[in-house]
Amino acid sequence: MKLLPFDYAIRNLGRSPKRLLLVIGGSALVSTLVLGSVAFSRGLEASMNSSGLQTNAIVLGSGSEESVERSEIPAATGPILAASVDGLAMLAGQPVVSSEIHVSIPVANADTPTVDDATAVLIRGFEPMAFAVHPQVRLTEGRWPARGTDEIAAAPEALAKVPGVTLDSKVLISGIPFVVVGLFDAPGTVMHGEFWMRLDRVTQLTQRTTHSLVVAALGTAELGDIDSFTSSRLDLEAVSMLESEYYAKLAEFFAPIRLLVLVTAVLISSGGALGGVNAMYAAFASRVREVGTLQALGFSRFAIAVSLILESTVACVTGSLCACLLGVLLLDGISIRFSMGAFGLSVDGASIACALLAGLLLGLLGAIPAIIRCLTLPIPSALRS
Amino acid sequence: MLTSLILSAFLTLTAPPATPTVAPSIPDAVFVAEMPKDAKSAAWVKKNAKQGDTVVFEAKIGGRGEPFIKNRASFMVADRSLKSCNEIEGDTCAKPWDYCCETPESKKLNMLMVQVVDSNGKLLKCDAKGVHGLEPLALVVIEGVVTATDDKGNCMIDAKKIWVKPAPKAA
Repeated sequence: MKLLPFDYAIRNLGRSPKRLLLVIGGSALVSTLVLGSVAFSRGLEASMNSSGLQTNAIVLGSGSEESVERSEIPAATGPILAASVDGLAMLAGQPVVSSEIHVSIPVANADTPTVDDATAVLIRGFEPMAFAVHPQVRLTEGRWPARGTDEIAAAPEALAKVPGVTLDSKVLISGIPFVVVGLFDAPGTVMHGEFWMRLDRVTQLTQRTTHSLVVAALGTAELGDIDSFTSSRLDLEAVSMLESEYYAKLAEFFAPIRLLVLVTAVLISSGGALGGVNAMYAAFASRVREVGTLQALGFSRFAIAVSLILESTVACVTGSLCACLLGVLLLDGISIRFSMGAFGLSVDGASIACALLAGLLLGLLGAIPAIIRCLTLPIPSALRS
Repeated sequence: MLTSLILSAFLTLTAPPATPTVAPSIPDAVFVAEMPKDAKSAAWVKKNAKQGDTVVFEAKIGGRGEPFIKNRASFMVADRSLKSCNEIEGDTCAKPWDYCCETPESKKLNMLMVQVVDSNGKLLKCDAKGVHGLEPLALVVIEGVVTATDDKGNCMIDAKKIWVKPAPKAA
């Protein structure tokens, strides 16, 4: 069977630049939305995966397995755990066990302390052992807060939530000004959107006698050892799990939100898709006589259909490529802040593949109505139209 | 390449034979066919037993959603006087052995941990669940030594003999 030359389809694209732009624009819009939603989903998932380590076990309050912020365990849990479980990782002769408090508190710029400016940000109370269990955290500027002082350290996305605050400026928390003495980052994790304060200061600030959780580096110990400890200590009313397991459960919790974002993107992009299909239909419909002529010259309907599909696919995939380029340049790494911290949009291979697939499908399926319109007419009718 | 082949063959031939690793398991001798006599209640043990005492008590396996510690020969038991959710009319709890209807205070008074240790006193690294009928809500009579107990509600028994009455089948 004789097919139409490939360059015939390509040359036809330039016959109506406005329609071509409309098709490319529609496809780019659809692909951008698909790319953005997949990047959102992948970014959230990646953030959850990299926030929790498989080598860490966490001990948190029984019944609070789904929210560390809700968890309360006796303050003595960390030292008791360190003394009771053999095989935990050791650092400078000490078991690597980090007691922490996670609490969401309104934080405002101390220079503009209005109630409206206060934004709830996650504050983590820490002790030095926290750096051993959270190796993702790195001090970039300044120093860490000292014990018993009104000092705080901030990650970039936490700072972005409180406009105007930089290193050495002050933030207002529960009416007390805290100096930002250090900046840290933990890219791709929830900690990238947190303030860190010394544990004793958070305890005073929140007037609590309990901690949120204990993070322990397992070393040669296993989760079973920690589980055995928490089960035998009924007085602690605590449970244990791998840190990675906690964040995996959290990712599951956010699954409906990720689906919602994807569905919303598909719904919005359907407008762009219909616009593109309409432009393609109009472009092809005006070429009914040309199609009739090609049939009269001996080209089969299949060969003409292939040429039209090629034409539409090339236009749509061009739009998708533009969307991918924009995505990589403008969307990749953009931070999305949420109650637990922040995560970055991840324009990775999967999201780019989804965007290209969307453009490809649009090109393949979008040409079908026009092909039906052009090729169902008898040749004499097509030539007379 | 020939040299590396000869070298690897030599190393394979001269390497000491790998010692087969035996997966730890609860010794069959721990499970007895005859029920130990003069069993007290778990609550009595918690209230009266001291560290080092040898005790015989009866209890039901349960106390939380997963009473067995994964990959460890350890499980939680509850006093028989406590009502598990399946004993409460109309209760459709999916995990009746978690005693979720009991108050935390009641749980502290009536629940304790049982473990099986090796000759060095180390907790065996194997699952107890399913072994010789150890299942949630199974009635057990245990003879063992109190290894830890305090006034905060913690109590640990090293089991020496376990008699198991299988759990009732769900209707």
